[in-house]
Amino acid sequence: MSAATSTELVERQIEQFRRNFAIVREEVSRIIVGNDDNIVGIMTCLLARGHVLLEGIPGIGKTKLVQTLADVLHLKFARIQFTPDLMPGDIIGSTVVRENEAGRKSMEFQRGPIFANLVLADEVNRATPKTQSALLEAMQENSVSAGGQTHPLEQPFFVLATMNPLEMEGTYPLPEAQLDRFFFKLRLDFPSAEGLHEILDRTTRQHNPQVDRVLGQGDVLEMRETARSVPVARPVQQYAIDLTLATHPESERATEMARRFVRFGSSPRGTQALILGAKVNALLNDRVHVACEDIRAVTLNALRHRILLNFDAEAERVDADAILNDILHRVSEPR
Amino acid sequence: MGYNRAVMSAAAHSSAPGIDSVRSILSRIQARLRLNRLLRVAAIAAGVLLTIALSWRLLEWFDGRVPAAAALVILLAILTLVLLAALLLRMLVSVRPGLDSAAAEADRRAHLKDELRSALWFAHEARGGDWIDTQLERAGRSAAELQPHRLVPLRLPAAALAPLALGALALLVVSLAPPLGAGPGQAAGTALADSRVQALRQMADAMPASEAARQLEQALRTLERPDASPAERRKALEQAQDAVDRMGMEAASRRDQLQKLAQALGNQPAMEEVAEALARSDAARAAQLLEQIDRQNQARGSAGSSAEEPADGGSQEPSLEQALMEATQATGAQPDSAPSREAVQAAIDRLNEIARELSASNYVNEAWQSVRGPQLEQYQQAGAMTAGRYAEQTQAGSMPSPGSGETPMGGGTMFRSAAVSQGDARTEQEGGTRMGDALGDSPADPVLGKSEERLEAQLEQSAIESDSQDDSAGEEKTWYYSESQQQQSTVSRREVQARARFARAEAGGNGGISIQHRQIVKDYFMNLRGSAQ
Repeated sequence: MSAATSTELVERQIEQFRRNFAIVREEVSRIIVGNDDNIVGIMTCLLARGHVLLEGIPGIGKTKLVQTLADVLHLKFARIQFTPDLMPGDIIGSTVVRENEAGRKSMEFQRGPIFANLVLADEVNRATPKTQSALLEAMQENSVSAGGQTHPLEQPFFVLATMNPLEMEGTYPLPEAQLDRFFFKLRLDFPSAEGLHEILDRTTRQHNPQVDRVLGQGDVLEMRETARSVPVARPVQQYAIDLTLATHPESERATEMARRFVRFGSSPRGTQALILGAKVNALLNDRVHVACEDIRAVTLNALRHRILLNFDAEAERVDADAILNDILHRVSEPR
Repeated sequence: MGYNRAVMSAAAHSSAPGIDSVRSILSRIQARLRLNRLLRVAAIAAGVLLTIALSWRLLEWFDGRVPAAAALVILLAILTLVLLAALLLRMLVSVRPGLDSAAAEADRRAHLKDELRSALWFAHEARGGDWIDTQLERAGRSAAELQPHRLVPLRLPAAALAPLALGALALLVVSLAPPLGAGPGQAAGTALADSRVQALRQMADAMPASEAARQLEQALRTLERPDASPAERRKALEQAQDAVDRMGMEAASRRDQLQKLAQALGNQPAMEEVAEALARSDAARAAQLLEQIDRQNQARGSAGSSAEEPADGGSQEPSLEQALMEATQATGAQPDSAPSREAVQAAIDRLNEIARELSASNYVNEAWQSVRGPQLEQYQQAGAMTAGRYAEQTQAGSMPSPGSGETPMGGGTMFRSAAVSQGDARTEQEGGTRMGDALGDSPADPVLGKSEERLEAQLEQSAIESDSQDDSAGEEKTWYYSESQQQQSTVSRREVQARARFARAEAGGNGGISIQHRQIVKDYFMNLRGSAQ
């Protein structure tokens, strides 16, 4: 293949990627009012082979957003409502004894709801740590082990976990090590007055809006490959590393605020998330390379749950977003 | 980033479309960035030269009135500025913008979002691939659209222009303005001071010859010299002050001597008036009275006796006390003793001399005060004296009066000596007084309102002790926050208070209905209302 042909192919891939992304965004927007950034964030996670944690107050549309996304993407969807009595077997499945017509008994693995492409783990912090671990292990390994056998999960495998930040009574907050397995942590804000009007107009009439399935499993996998192909120059990669190191209080590149309020900084997974998220962001902005601006665009979503704050931060009500904004303000791009 | 040279020489991805265009444009941008840097260097050099010229002109403008210390500070400041400028110049010249810097600058100015920088790095990395080729092609297209002369215009930084213009203007103003010492007001002040110095000198000349008078004369001669340097004037002022002080002390000594004489003569009936005059330090009046007494004695004793020779030949001049004692004997207080006209005349002469000395000392002191003020002022305006030293000098000589103890003060530091808040009836030893001290420092009154306890008071760090023998001593223990003793006490106290409140409520404190009967009462009224409806 000649050089001209190969570049044309890449240009077509980029164009296809952007078109597919725009279609999904448009379809989801027919149901979901506002939250455009979060729709982009969820899609970015899906295309970067990550999983997303959604945080927001009750009734703000977290579950609806995920359901709509599942409707738009022609993927197998499963919803697990996490409760304190939920067991790991309820998620991954269990081995049952089955008897055939001849009376022969055999063991058979009954697949749990996790064997889907899109898994909504609703209120993930209500289940016990044991159950949470089962889900998070599957997220990390992309496979499930049961009865001495390993069952690979079908790709794309994408988990959207929701969490309610208000009702902490009777919940089991996810440990930092498990939070780190989520690619992004997205926050859903309360809609504006205009947004509320729009929500009421759409949902209180006789006919609710419907969405079409616009992308299939193959399209998503192809988009994933495209996103991974975007090259990153070393100076830009250095910027992502500088941002990560700035969150470490013991690092010489740490900002004053990070030294004061952060107990543990971001893990290397955070840097990976920065680069992969930036790649998707670069494609969305019709770029064939990753820019520092792309890294900045995903920093809050990628790192906010990977920073462990200390007691001073809790006492002075300083959150991770404030520290990350300070880091973004102070860390300059490599020259 | 060290791949700049490699990019230029290795031609790692030279076959990729667009990279030649990127390099070509970046080379032009790099050249313009270097030129701009040179312009900046020139601006800094011009600024340093301008500063030096301005400082030099300012020193000339002050016409030597800047004291040596201030001049040294200015020179050191100039030297530091030159050194800083040299360092900056060295940095600007040594750190030359490479292609990577040019790419970063071009990306920033043309809002290319790291496109050229990434392309340069991909070209250097020599990693082939469709995506990199596409990126280089795109970067080449973007670079071709750039216009280096618009992207990097050759001009001085705007921040440097304003200071340069201001400096040039200041230099022009200082060059055109007349020297500071040439003002008409200054000349008038100098003339007035000179006339006062001359008047003082005339008085000093009239004084009897003494060491202090000679010292004053010498100091005044220096002050009269128009070419005297500030240091010489300062020294002359100190000398003159010293001489005047010595004169004042000599005058005081004379007055003291007159007082003693007055006491000695007080018991002589014939010399009572003389003693009173001496007690008032009125030596002239005492001499006049003594002369009258001497004339009376002459008239009384002219019939009985002729003039007698002095007893001891009179070759040595007697002291005033001795002369007065002899004069007392000659006034008839002791009529049987031989009178001595020479002794009386010597006492009169001495008293007259003392009177002249006292009078001259007073006049000189007053005249000196009128001269000293303008001289000090002139000296201070020339910048040779700090404000504090000037204030100290203007108060010098204001000795407390021996009679009243009052001190005339031209100015001074006020100290608060009163208490600033009410004491709480505890002594300082008890650690509770809130009385103010001489400087007005006083602990503030306590802040009113509900006290807020800090988290440090509510919580305390606790550590989990490990039973394991393997743990090394230096290993960090697992710690956590637990309730502090103070917080436990606070919570316990509140619990007791809550129990008391509950007991009051249980006993029917709230509206007369106890807690256990409230639901019954409520149900009763609810049902009553329901049945009524």
